[in-house]
Amino acid sequence: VFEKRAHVPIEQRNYSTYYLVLSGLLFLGTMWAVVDEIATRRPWKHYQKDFYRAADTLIQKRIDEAASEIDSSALAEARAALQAAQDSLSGNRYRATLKEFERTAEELINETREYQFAKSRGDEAYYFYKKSVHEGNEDASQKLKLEKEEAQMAKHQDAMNALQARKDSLQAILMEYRQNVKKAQNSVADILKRVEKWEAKRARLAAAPIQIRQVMMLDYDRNPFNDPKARVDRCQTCHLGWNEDVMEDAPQPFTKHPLPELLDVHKPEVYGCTPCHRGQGAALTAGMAHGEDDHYWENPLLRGKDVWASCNECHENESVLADAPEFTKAKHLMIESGCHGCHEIKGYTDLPKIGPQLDNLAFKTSPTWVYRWVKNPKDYNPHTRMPNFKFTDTEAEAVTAYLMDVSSKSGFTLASGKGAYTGGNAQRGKALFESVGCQACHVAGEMTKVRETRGTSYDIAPELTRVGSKVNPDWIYDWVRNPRHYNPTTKMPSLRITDGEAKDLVAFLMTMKDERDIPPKTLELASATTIKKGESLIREYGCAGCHVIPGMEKEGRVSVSLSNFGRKKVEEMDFGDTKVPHTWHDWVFNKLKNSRVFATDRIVQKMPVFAFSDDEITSLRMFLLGQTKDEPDKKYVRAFDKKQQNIESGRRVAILYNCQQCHQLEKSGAYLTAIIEEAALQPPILTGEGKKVQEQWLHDFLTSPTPTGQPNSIRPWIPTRMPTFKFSEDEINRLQKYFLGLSNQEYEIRDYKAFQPDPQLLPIGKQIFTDFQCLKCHPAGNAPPKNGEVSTSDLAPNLTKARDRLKPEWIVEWLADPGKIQEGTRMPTFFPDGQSPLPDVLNGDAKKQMEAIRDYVISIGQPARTTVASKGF
Amino acid sequence: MNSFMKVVALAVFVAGRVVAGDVTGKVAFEGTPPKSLPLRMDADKVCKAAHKTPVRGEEVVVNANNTLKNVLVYVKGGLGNKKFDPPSKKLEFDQEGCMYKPHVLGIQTGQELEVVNSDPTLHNVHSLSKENPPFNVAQPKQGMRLTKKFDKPEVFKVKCEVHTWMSAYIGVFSHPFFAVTGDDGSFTLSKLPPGEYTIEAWHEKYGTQTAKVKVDAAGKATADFKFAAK
Repeated sequence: VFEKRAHVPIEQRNYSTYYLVLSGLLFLGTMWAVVDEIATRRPWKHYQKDFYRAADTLIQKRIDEAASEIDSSALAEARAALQAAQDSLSGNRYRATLKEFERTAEELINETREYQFAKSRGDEAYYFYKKSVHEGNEDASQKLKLEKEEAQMAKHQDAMNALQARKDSLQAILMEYRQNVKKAQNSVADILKRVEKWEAKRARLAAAPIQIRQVMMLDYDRNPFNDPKARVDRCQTCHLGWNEDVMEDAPQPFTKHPLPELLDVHKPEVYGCTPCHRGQGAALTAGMAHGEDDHYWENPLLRGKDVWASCNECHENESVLADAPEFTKAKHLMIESGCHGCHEIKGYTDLPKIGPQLDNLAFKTSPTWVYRWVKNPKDYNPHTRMPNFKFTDTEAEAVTAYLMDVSSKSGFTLASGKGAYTGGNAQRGKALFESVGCQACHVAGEMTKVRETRGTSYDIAPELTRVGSKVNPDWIYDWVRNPRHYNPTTKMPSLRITDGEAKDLVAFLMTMKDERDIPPKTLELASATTIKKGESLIREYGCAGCHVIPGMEKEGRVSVSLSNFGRKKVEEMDFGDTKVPHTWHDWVFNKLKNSRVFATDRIVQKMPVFAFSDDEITSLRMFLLGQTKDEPDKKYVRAFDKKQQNIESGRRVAILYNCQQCHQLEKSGAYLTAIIEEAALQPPILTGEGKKVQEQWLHDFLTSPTPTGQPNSIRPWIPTRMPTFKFSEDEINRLQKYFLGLSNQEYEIRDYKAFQPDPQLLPIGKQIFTDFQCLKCHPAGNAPPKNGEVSTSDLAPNLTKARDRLKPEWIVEWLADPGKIQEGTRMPTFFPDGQSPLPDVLNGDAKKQMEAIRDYVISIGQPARTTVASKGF
Repeated sequence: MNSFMKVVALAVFVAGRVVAGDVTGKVAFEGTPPKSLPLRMDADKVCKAAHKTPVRGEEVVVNANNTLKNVLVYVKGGLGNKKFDPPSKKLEFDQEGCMYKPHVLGIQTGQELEVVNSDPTLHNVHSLSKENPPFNVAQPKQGMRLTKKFDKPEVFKVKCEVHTWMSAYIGVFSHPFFAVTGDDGSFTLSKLPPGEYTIEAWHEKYGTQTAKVKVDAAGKATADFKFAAK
């Protein structure tokens, strides 16, 4: 073809076919480019269109619902009323009134003008008259004229007054007509309110343009040179429904955010989504935006539970976030498992060791028990927090040898000597164990309900099911009477049990034997080389991370810092001989499941084996994912200010002493309540304690919960005892600030004695107190209640203590709605819906009545006791 | 539509409205009932004075014909998602002589309950409801009234803290088909549309029992229950 073509002269060659084909290709290419640009590469446009369509349908449904709930007869009535009101504006009476009003107004103007004219004429006459007087020839005619004009003015003034009054009354009538219309319009609008609200929303969405929605923070991040780096967040281009009520059950990407209360603070319209969810904010396709299609993107979307990891970027110092229970759970898991014993964790480097101190161990239990325990703690107690170090028999023997050797030299003696336990009643002991509160921390035999309620794979105190085979009765007798005697740093509090109660308890605990057949084992513990070997094993495996051990006082953490573990690269992780998929998540999961899994014949692993549940592992993994050095610019972080520091500092005291085993604090805890059915007998909820009790009282209570020596002095009918923790002044101080901080109260010295009842309210308060029959439940004196006057069950706190215990303003709040403060309380409200049942007292003013009761209650307090030296305030 | 079809339609419509049956039955009791001791009301002389003869607790009341009183019988399943408007009639729940009257009460969601204190002494009505918001309101004066409505179906206990012997149970249902057995141990669930239902009988001490019934076009069905002493 080309050869043939070469014979055709150039001038005669025809290129139109080429042009046609090429221009066709160019045209198609352009079309393709346009389509690709507008549609293919803009999938978010489809999302937006889908969203607006879906939202429109759902809103229409709401409109229909709202419309169907309208009482059509009421609407018709309201509309008829409106019509009637509007019609009356064109009615005869209104028109006549309006006409008369206009006429009167005109007449008033005329009259006013006439008055002004008369006044001008009068002024003129007055001038000439005065002038004539000054010139010495008084002009009587001018005076006469002035008087005449003044008479005219008075006449016009009267007419004006009459007209003005007439005009006002006519205007009032007209206004009434107009107001009727307005009222009718309002009542129609009221009925249609919901429909119109949705209509407005629908119109707003219908008018919304299809466009990229982005949030930009110019200085949120920092680059490696510490210069501010902008963050662009376009997630809301597709996730359009996060704030729309109708989208609650809609599929992604349109679903409403499930935790709107969190968004009140972490405003997506200001901060975007990536600070919490991570991902690649600038991307506009799902795969790239979520970061999963972009192999080089280091911050992929946090899925499932992992989303809570990012809380740590701003809240690393806080161990409780009330609105992030998963985060709180993971932190507690970390604290309670003692990860900080071996690993450095930012914000948690000063936590106390979680295990018991072992300096008196030889006086507590036998070498064989210690040996078996060291070998495999979970053999004796499957729920212990102590992990398994997988020691060989000889290693376990060596560790035992060292521990027994150093602890036998401590010089510990039992307070009452050997043989102090002379027997007790096991049945009574069991009843005491069940009622006094031991179960808050200890499981014994079948009593596992608190553990199940708490839901962790481990207990926070030793299970006692086999304790009878571990320790001797004299030691338990010594221990339960005063745990700090054997172990000065124990968290086990004193329950103020009497010697008799202690004997019963010991008798009960000694019935708890290890029934298994345990093969005897002969141990060689005396050899110096064995002891030496034990010492080096203890050092190597970091036992001192959790335990105080003589000779190990200077040991540091034996393992790596976790402070940037969340950013550890997969390439830096050793997967050993396993087939575990090479991802960060899989490595961590398998490591926590079995810490020795990546060991090989050459690589020894020392981390002991824990027994976390899968759920706990994913929680801990989430916690680790949050261990990064990423931190947004200061201005985006809630300041960890004095108040926050105080709260966290006290919170750690509360965590340390396991207050939440019994009490509800910051929305969680109160596990003991699982075995106390009646709410009124449960340990009180402490979240509002700072608002409730006086600082001095709380100080005294925490120092010694029962100054009078009764088991419980405030609610003596509750069998569960608030233990004596022997808190230090510093710990009490921290707890005080914690409670005050949680209640948004200032830490200040207040003189509660200065609060004097209002002498006028006092007798009224007394009357209401009598009318309400408060004494039916509350004892209010030291004398025993008279029969028939007070319920035999003595149900409520003695009010003579209120004066020294309660904050005056709290009493009023309590009276208003007790159930709101203490869920399930027996105290009823006397003012349902804020209404007083006594309309004749203080004009039925409920608030005033509550204040009167408060004043009376404070007045019945005993005379002020001598102030305890206010240490710590 | 021709006139024949109109007639048919009307007939179907009328039949559908009219056909509704009653489920009746008895709740028998077997065995020796636990001894009910007279209540000691010494704690409040008003209560004590209200009774000439000692009153007994109402936990287990066995009638003369060996039937059990205070059993709450209701349709548990079979109604589907049908909605029933609450009756406008208020129910009264009285505290008289330091006893609740009635001891067991059934009410429909949205229906008003009026709690009355007929005693010249302090009572508090404390609901231990779980589904509905619990309340605990004091009524220190005779004749005081309190109106309550419940939105969620459940059976819950009501007690008085001042007088520890006082207790009652309130059953809230999303439909009107419930009854409480009286002095003859019988009950009637009336005007049930034809269909198959699960009927449950609830007693505060003896728990629940269920029975299946079929209400046919004739509109009659029986369901008998039997509780045995523990």
